[in-house]
Amino acid sequence: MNMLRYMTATSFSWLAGPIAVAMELLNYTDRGRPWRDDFLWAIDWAGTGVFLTVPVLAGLVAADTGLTLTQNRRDLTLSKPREAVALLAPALVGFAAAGIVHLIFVIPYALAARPTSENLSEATLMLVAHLAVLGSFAVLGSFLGAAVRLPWAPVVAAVASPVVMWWMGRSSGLFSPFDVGGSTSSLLGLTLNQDFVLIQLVTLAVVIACVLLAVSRRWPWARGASLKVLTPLVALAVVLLLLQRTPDLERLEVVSSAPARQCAGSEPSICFYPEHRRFVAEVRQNAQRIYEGVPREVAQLLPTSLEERYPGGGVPDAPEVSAYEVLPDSFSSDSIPISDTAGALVTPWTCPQIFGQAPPPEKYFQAAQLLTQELLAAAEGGSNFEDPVRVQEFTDLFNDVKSCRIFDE
Amino acid sequence: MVAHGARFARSWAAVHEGLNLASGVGIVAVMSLVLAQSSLSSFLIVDFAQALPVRLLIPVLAAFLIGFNLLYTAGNVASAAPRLLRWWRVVWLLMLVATYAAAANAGCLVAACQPSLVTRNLVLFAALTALGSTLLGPSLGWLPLMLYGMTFLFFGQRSFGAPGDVVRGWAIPMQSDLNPVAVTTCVGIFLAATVTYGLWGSAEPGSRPFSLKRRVP
Repeated sequence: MNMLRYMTATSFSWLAGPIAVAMELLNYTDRGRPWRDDFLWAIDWAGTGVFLTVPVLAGLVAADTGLTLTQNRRDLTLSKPREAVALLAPALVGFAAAGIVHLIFVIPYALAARPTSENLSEATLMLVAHLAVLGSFAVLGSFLGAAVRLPWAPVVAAVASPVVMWWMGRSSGLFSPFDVGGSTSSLLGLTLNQDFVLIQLVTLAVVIACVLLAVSRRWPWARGASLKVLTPLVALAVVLLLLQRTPDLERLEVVSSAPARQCAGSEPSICFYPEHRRFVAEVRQNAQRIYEGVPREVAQLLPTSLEERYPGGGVPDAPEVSAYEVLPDSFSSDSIPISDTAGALVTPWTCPQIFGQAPPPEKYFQAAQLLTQELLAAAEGGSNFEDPVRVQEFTDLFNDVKSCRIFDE
Repeated sequence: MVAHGARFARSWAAVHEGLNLASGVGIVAVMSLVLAQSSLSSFLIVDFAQALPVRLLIPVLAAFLIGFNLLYTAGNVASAAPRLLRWWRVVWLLMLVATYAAAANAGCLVAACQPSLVTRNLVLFAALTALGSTLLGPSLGWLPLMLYGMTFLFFGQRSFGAPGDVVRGWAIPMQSDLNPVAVTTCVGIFLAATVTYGLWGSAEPGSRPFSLKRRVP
């Protein structure tokens, strides 16, 4: 009863819940929800909510724990048998509030992203990692609240949290134990590395256990930040740093087999990944306008099929098939400009020069722009294709581009 | 009045916050210079190739330090010249902001940043800190600044473009031009925060959030 009274009347770690609601809501609605229909990307995107909540959670828990150690609260809460419980209560309450909010927010993500059985286990692992990171920073706040004096403790916790998240939470070729995702581009062609997540969870469990052990000792030890408390934590930090140097431990890895596309229509057929099905109708409409606007001899040059490609994915090896990349802005705006479609039709996907380290020559860009403009003009009804000479010029230039001759010196 | 003024001056000179202030100024000045010359490429969506570190992170750091200095309010003044306490708080806040703005602007001596933008952001962040300190107390005074800071850092842009390209109206610190509306908003919030802090001071340590009843004199 005393604990309940304490939690409702004195503690304020529960504020992490309402604040997490605001942060999660902002994250959910940010940039037009580009992750829709893409379940794995949606759960990854939700990780940004964790990133945003962590500093506030750690700061609140640190302040709450620090105040628990002040004289007036000690009288209320720190009776001998329950000392450790009272010290850790802010962390537990803060973690529960933020964690429950995060889990609740996964429901609208899932509803908008249509989960499938194939990626359900990956998404579950991602969520477990999210919760583990929230828990880690809750106990970190608890430790700082016990070890650092007020009012410094919450500020140190709130400032240190994003720094640690940035330092040890980004996939940059090093093992990042606090990586919660937050990708701003589709995860198509990538999959969660389960080895990474398992090592991440074990690491975070050790972190949480060490910090809990440090905090739950008698409070004067922690308050004085004695060597007995600091030594294992410093050792833990060193281990984390060494672990971070582990090579070949990326959170996401390339899938072994490319996911299947779904095709619709003909002349040209539009083949997109199911996660991006919302773009098919507009691409098809764009393509029809172009194909119907150009003369028959030009239409025969154009690809008979458009197949979606994700960055880093394979390209079609047949000239009659064109790849199609949905650009990042389209995910936000939900709109694909007809110029993007025309550009995809004239891009020589089979030419290795466009994927090389060195940029293609300027004359390639000029040619691609000219061809695109001709197709756009035809789609708008203002074509110059009535003139047979222009048709021949277009055909020659198009063939030069598609056959990679444009890249020859 | 003269006696009050003399006691006020003596109290001012004896204020122990001078040490905090000096150390804070040193930290901000050094960090300004370090960040101004840093070669970091990016942090999350923030492009360090721009002058954003000095414009953004240094004002945030300065505002946190201002918050600490606000907490140590004038015990000496309260006993020596209680009638002047409210004015003392206002002067103290203004002096802190002016001093830290000067230190933060030191970075602009070596970096391509505009002092006016650094000052604008510092004024806004200091106002948030003062409001947080007044309304939430010393333990949670950092909360408004942290919330606003994280919010504009992540959601201040309207698109996936480079920072500074398309910025939302409320993300004033991300704006790279001196928009009059933004400046007026910052100054308005700062004036409101100054008046609020002058009238009530910092909430009592340990008081519940949003409680304005118990105050440290």
